[in-house]
Amino acid sequence: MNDKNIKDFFDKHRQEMPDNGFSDQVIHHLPVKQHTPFLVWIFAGIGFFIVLFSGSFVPLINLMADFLRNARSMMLPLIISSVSIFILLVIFIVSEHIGTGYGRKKNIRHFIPFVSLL
Amino acid sequence: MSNSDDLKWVLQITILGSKESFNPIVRKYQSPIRRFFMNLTMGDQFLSDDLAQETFIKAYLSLKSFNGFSNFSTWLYRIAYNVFYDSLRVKKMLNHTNLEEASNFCTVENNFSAEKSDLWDALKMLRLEERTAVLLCYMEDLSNVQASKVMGCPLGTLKSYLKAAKTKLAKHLI
Repeated sequence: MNDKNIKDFFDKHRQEMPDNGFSDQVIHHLPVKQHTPFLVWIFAGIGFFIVLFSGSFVPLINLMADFLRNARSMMLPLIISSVSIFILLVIFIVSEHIGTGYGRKKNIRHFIPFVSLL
Repeated sequence: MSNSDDLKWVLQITILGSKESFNPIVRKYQSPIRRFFMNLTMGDQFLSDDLAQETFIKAYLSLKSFNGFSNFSTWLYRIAYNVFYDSLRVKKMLNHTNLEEASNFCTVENNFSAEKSDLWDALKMLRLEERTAVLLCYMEDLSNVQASKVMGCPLGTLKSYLKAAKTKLAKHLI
């Protein structure tokens, strides 16, 4: 018996499965993806206008200006920590992307020691 | 629908996030995925439908991880393969048996039984990996490379599964 005979045997037994409502059942059971509730955007807008019209934005801008003035003196540690966080984030995202291939999650416990260093 | 159509649907689901956009993919692949499970479980239609449903739900939830380098069908069969083996591991733990014993399904009577009995008799003689390899390559028409990706094994290992399966099937079918 050669390869063709085996192929013919399987071809003979190949059968199309009738849907019979299976697809609708699957769609019905799919979880709904979470979106940001509309109410959150409404309250964010209200908060923004309250800050704008009550004049509270002036001290807020002063605070930011102070921060930028002081930032010059602490720029080096800021850059170092930002770059470290960026590198860790890239490693985490890449490992997540590779790890979730074909629907499987990779163990990410080995990243915890690096995160705890920060 | 070709692979480019699959990519189009995947992109649409990822951007819109609507469940209905997933419908064409389920309709296209429900038959091959359910048939794959049906043959792996020796005709247990209820179990096959449960496993197929779980496969599509997992595929929907992990669509963002589909990078498009491989065929969508290969990616979906890989999920189906994992779902099947996960179910076997649960069965193995519950029954305190090994994986090979857990995969010994009894042929279940259903609408397809009469036509399929000789196929399932033949498949019963094969080891689990041989059965999976034969079904992927001969029943579902995947190439050897695709089947090895689905099973997560080297190409040489897949070929050895196929060779062993063909020897056993030849003895049975003559």
